[in-house]
Order: sequence, then C-alpha cells, then structure tokens
Amino acid sequence: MSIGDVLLDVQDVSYHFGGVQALAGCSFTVHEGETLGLIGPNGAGKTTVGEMICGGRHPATGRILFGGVDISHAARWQIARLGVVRTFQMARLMTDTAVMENAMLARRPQRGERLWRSFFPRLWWDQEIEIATAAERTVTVVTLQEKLTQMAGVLSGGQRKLLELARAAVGEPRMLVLDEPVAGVNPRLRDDMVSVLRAFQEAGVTLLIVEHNLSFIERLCKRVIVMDQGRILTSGTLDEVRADPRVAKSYLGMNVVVA
Amino acid sequence: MEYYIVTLVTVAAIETILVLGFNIQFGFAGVLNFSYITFVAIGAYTTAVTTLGSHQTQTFPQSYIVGLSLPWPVALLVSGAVCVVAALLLSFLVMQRLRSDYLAISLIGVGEIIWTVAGNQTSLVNGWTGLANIPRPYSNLGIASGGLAGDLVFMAIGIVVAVGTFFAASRLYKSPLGRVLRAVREDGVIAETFGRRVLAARLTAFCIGSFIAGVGGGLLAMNTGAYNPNAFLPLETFLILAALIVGGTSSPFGAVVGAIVVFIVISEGTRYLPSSLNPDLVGGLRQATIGLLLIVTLRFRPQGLFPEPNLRLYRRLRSRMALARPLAPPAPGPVGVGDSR
Ligand SMILES: Nc1ncnc2c1ncn2[C@@H]1O[C@H](COP(=O)(O)OP(=O)(O)OP(=O)(O)O)[C@@H](O)[C@H]1O
Ligand SMILES: [Mg+2]
Repeated sequence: MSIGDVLLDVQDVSYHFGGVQALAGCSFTVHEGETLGLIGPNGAGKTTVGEMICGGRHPATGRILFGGVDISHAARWQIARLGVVRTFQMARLMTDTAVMENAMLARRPQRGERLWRSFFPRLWWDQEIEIATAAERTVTVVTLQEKLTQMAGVLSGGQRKLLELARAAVGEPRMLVLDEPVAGVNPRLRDDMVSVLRAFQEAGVTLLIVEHNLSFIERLCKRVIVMDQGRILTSGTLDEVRADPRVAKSYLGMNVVVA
Repeated sequence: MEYYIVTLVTVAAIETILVLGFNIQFGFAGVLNFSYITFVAIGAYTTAVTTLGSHQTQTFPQSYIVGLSLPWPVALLVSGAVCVVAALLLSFLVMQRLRSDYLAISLIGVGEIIWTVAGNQTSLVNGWTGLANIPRPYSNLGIASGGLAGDLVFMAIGIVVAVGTFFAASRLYKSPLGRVLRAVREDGVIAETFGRRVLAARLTAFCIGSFIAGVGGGLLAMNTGAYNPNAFLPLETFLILAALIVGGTSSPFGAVVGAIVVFIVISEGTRYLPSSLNPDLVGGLRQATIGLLLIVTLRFRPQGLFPEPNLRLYRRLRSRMALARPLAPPAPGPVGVGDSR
C-alpha cells in the first residue's frame, strides 16, 4: 500500500447553489493508494465536492484532474469508466430489485450487455457466475448474506449503507469516494466496515472518506483535510489537525469529546 | 366454430407479441411510449405497401406509396426495421433531452401527427379509407375445402413468432443487459454512477420494442387484410398498457397472460351478452370491464398477476452457482476481503 503519484487533483474549485456558495476555491490532492479523510462541519461542502469528483456537478471555476485527465466537465458514466466508484450520503439503491442485482450491477464491463450477445447466455454465463460469486462474497462480508435474494427495498437504513459498500467492492474501483459510510451503522458492524476498507487499502485502492466519526477516520486515514465554508482549512494527521485552533473553533469545539 | 377458435388464437398470438414489445420498453426500461400503437401502425402499413404489389394491378383503386410484392417474412422484417428507423428519428427529436414524463406526452403528440397525416394525405396509404386486400400468407391453402388449412398455417406463423418473441424477451430479461435496463428504470443516477449510459439504454429498449411492434403490426395487417387509421387510435396503446399491468409489469410471462385476458377473455366475453342490447352498449361495456379490471388490479394486486421475476432469477442463479455454503468463511477475493477474520 505504498503511496504513488497524485491521482486526484482538485484545483481551486468553486460552486454555488443559487446564492449559496457551497465551494469557494477548494483545492486538495489525493495520491494513488492513499486514504484521505475529509472532515468538516455540516454544510461545509464535503458532499458537494464528492459529487463533483464523480461528475454529478461541474465546477463553476477551477478544475479537477484524475490521473492527469481533466474531468471537470465529464459525465458521471465517463468518470465511472475511469474507475471511480462512490457511495451516497443517503444510500441509493434499486429498491425494487434483488440485493444481489444491486451488487452485480457494479461490475463493468459485462459481456452480456451487448444487445446481440444478451440473447446467447453461453457467451456471458461464465462471467455472470464470476460476478455473482464476487457479489455473494462481498455481501456476506457486510453480513447481509441472508438478504441476497430479497428486494433491496426491505433493507434498513444501516443495511443500505452496508450494501452500498459491498456494491462498491464488486465494482473493483481504482478510487472510492465514501460519503459518511458509517452513519447509522451499529458499532459492531463498524469494525467490519473498517476491515472491508482495509482490504481496499491493501489492494491499492485510493480512498476518499467523508465522515463525522473521527475514531473511524483515525483507524483508516494517515492524513485528513478539514473543510469549512467551501474551502480547505487545513490538513495533516488527525492529531495535528485536532491541535489546530481554527479547527477547534469551526468544528471540533463540540465534537472533540466523541473522538 | 373451428374458424372462431383459430381466429381467436391468431389474435391472441399477435396481441401477445404487441404486449411483449411494449413490456420491453415500459416494463424493462421504464420508457413509457404512449404512441406505441403508432409504431404498430407503421409496421402494418409497411407490410401492406411491401406486399400489395404495384397499385396499378389492384382490382379496385387505392393509392399508396412503394408498392412491392415482397415475400411475407421479408416484409415483416422490413416492417420491424422501418419501425426501428422511426424510433431512432423520433428519439433524435424528443428523447435526447426529455425526462420520461415529458417524453410520454410528446410521444402522444407525435402519434397524433402521424395519425392525422395518414388519414388526410390520401396518396400515402389511402387516407381514412385505409388499405384493403393486404395479402395473407397461405390464404389460398385448402380454399376448396373452406380455407381452414390456410387459417391454420397463418395461426401457426403467429404462434411461432409469439413464442420466439417470448423467449427473446425472457432471455433479455435475464441477461446483463436486462439488468442495465432495470437499473435505468429504477434510478438513472445509479446506472450512470456505475458507468452505464442512461440514454443509450433507453434507446436500446425503445428500438427493440419498436421492432417487435413493427413485426406485430405487420402480422395484424396480414391477418385482417385491411388497415385504416381507426386501428391505431391512442386508446389502443392504453389497452396494451392495461394488459401489461394486469398481467404483471416487466414479467414476460405476465405480458402473455395480460394479452390473453384483456384482448381475448374480456373482448370476446362481452360478445356473449344478450343480443337485445344496444351494440354501442356492448362496446362501452367492454371498455368499462377493462377499466374495472385495471382498477381492481391496481388496488388489490398492483404487481399484476405475475410479478416481476427478479428474485426468482437470482435464487436460480445462486443455486446454479453451487455455492450453497453461506456459513463458510468468505474466500479472499479481488479486494482481498477478510483480513480481520
Ligand atoms: N441541492 C442543493 N440545493 C441547494 N443548496 C444545496 C444543495 N446541496 C447542498 N447545498 C448547500 O451547499 C452547502 C454545502 O452542502 P454539502 O451537502 O456539500 O455539505 P456537507 O459538508 O456534505 O454537509 P453534511 O456534513 O451535513 O453532509 C450547504 O450550505 C448546503 O445547504
Ligand atoms: Mg454531506
């Protein structure tokens, strides 16, 4: 899990929702294989910047490079094809289809997605079994194996977050953007999630973790950046950041006890 | 009596084909095509003008374009292809930027335009009078003994095409492409987050459904031998939608059952009402029955008679994986999960 070159380069990005300035000159980099924690108070712009990395929004000014490629105005599907996978702050699943289908969709490319091939199972069946096996394994890791052949809509809020993580694993990402992965997940399962994410780290996947739970961040991230009011306040190890008086003022003042 | 049954089975087969095509658009991919029947009409007219032959050779005057005498299987394929081209053109106009609800409304508009043009521009497909004498394959077979043999052969053609369409739709449903179409139907953002293009997927479903509509429309024209604009009033699309909802949206088998229930049981059942009733009342009763059936379905069984076979699909996949060992520890996978265990 050595740290490589810069993979993601967010350069002076700004964005506003009508009159609300969500991002105001936000810059940071993430190196290949690194796990970066992104913390900050509610409304700091963390979700907005994550969304932007994945192509859901496009910067008003500034730009975003991924592996040297400018993705500022790329579509979601294009960025996904570069190997960026994300989870959502409000878990987002296909609720009317099986848990297994949700997990299996994440893998790409799939041979049987070509129109003419789809009619000949022999041409894609081996890959289907392979993906199904991967889906079953990751869903089992997040303890949802009982639910594999139930509708994703029956899952509880916390279970949905777990399934999102399993789905991301099936996607074999190069970079994974996680928006509050442990929000609403019970403490015992948090340990399971840490181990899932450690496995990502060992496989060399680059992680960007947005999270309010600092002990979770502490267990996974060597480096964290702190966001406030649409820009980066500071960065460093969690301890360094905690010691920063500006951070204490803007964010940790009331939360430091939790950590 | 034999004639009646043969006719019913033929109609059932053709309507099944039509509902299956609609199912691929709406049930599989969530593309609500309110002008589906317009594509059926395009298929019917294409088959007519490519099998009627030159209009100079007609026994009575009717004016139409093209005028070929293609063999029937070729004419059906051409009809499907013409519908695909129409679907592509149309999607260029309306699908690019439109959300599904606006798409539905603008497709109604497109259907109306085509209906009006077909009716008023007499030189195209003979206007409101419509085309007649559309040849039916093998209709001369056994004509001496009453023509039942020809009817049977055509019924067999209908059944073969319907069964083929059913199996193609089932395979599509089970395939990875079917999964992508469902992702697009459920939540386009999820589909795009995992690298699928929503527009391309919607277009794929739109074109497959249009092809089937074209072939089905061609069979319809051959079966009745005549086709005019009254055959593709917008109401027809709603009947197909009703059939799909009653049978079970997105289930290929449900589409078959829905087609039979709505187009045969109810449409034909109302014929056995006392003949003393006003004929307008009979027609009205038929529509009212279908409306009632729709309401009852939506109230008591919204998933339809045969719900989406999604869970069954994955149960079957799991049993085929020979991985019935939920208690075994997970093996290290591509992401090497399991270091804490
Ligand atoms: N869809 C939207 N429309 C309007 N304003 C928005 C929208 N999404 C976010 N905002 C605003 O943008 C700012 C940044 O929001 P964002 O969701 O990025 O915060 P966050 O750091 O993720 O907060 P939290 O920790 O609560 O998730 C906030 O002021 C928010 O009100
Ligand atoms: Mg957020």
